Amino acid sequence: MIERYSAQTEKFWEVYKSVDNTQLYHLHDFLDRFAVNFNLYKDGAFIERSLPFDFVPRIIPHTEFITLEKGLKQRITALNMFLSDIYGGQRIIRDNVIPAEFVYRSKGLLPQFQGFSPPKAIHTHISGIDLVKDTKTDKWLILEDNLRVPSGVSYPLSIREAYRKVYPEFFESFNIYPTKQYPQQLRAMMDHVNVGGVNVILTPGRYNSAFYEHSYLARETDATLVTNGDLEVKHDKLYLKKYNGERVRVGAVYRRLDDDFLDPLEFNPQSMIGVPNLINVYRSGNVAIINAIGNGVADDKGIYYFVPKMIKYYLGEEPLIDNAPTYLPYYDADRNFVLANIEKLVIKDVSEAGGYGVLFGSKLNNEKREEIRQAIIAEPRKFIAQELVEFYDIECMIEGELKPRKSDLRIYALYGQDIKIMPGGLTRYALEAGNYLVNSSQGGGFKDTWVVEL
Amino acid sequence: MTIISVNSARNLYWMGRYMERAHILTQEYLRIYDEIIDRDFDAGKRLFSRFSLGIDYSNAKSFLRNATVGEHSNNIANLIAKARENAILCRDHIDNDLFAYINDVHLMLEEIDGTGPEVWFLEEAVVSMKIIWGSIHEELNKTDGLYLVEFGEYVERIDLKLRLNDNISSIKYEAIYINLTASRLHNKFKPVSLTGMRDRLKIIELYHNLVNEIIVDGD
Repeated sequence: MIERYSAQTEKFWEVYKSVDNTQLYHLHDFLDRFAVNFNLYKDGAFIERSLPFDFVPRIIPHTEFITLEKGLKQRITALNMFLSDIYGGQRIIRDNVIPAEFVYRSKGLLPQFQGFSPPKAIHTHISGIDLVKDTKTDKWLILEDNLRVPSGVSYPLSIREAYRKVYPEFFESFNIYPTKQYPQQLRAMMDHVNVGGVNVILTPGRYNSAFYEHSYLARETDATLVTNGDLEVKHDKLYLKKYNGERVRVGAVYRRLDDDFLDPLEFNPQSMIGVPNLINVYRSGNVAIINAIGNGVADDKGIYYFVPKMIKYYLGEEPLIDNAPTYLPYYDADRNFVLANIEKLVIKDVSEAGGYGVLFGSKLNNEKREEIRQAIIAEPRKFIAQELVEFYDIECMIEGELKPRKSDLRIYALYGQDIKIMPGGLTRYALEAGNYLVNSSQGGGFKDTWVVEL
Repeated sequence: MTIISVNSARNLYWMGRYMERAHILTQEYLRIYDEIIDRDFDAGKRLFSRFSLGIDYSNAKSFLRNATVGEHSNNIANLIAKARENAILCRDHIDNDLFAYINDVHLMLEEIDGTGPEVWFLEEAVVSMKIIWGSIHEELNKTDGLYLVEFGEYVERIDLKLRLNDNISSIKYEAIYINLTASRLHNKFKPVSLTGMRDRLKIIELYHNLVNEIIVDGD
């Protein structure tokens, strides 16, 4: 089901009729020429490829975006308070808002950071919040809070540059809110939490799917792009090895690798991409790590259920944006409901991400459903169940025709001196009709997102 | 200004080397193509032998194909692919358009089909490479990034000049420029003197190893 056209969308199509649509290929050429890639591993081989792209932008009227902006600021503020609390006094547990067991059994909780506060008490420096718009209520719903290493921002930022060159008519015809300030805001955020020294972006390396993004953000923010071999810890301080042998103090690390790989001496000893002793530097307060370590406990799919409660608890406010209807098998009533209605629900393994570990009950045979039932009974904390939200399809130009596809929206937020929400975002869509998985790692495509005022 | 790490410095250096090798060899291959047409059939074989390659061809066009996409490391497509790979790795230090120019040549060479390339195709590639060098000098103007790329460029020129002709004095200007560039990059660099050196391969080796004095891990 396609959302009813807003006046802004109608205006887009009106302008589209007047532009030279034979120039569309320039947008795809741009992605190839500038190697705006999202690489894949398939059958053991590294495949360099552009992310599939559709030129029809998602259009959000500015008035609607203002509500989203307020709701996201509220949510991110509460999530940051939750993280400070969980790694601090744990008031929210003592006050029985979230069951202790639920927090303590979260894979994302890192008890070794209990009592540690990151620079300026900011944990959620960069969030990539996934939303969909429900056809029943016509409201946006939060699907996931990505508070660890959210990726994808470079794709809408890059293609926006190309749009402006190929089709200035759109930008002249109505007010499309600019997004180009994002890298400067990212830099300002890094500077805000920097404890003295340069900013670096730590990448796992060339063969990471989002390496393009890492180099893009480094170039645009004047941070130095580094791999672990470029960094060195000495006397509880972190240094960048400059090419001429000098050592330059690092004050902030925007890491693009998960906690588990950051420091082989602290976490996974098999990590070949981490920096030995980095965590000691962090604990000594001598470097800021963006996002903070241990955020996984807040974007755990199980904790997600409690975010509306967090908002009420910490801020005394009603959530401005709802969660998708979610059941926690951890609670008896929810578990019984889930076990009885598995064929109508989406079951998610809370330890997975990127579209993995997501099972649609309706698509499982009886044997597989029974297997999942038993898994839920054995380990209820490991799963959540969600009603299948019938979210709006988005129009995509496929083989010269507009066709509906499932899509979501990832909006990016930066938490520095204050919280800034990028007026735009990454719209991801499924390439096949009827597919609900839109993740880039599952082969989904992307669109730009325009926040528009007439 | 963004600080250049050890790894990025190596990538800038190698980008310069591969770009220059591709640039010089493409022109050289085009020159040899003419010689083969003018009935010096073995001119290409002599050139390949300078790189210890025993590559066969049946006519000028097949020479050109071998030179461009043949199974050896000095084929133009491979050299450009290597330059591009290094450009990807140090992309945060180079201009977006500069990267795109390098990528354009790479994509162009990837399109060569079963019979190509035509001569005009490689002539176009040479023009693109000149644009790339122009872009490198303009975009990286007087930065350490430029000096690292130029350092690679001049080391490669020395390598090729000494491989392609026996005259050591032919590298006089490159040697001066390398001393100048290296001292800009590293204030403790001691200029290289070629006085008394007669062995071409030893000189090539000397310049190859110079990078280890300029890009220092410091461990």
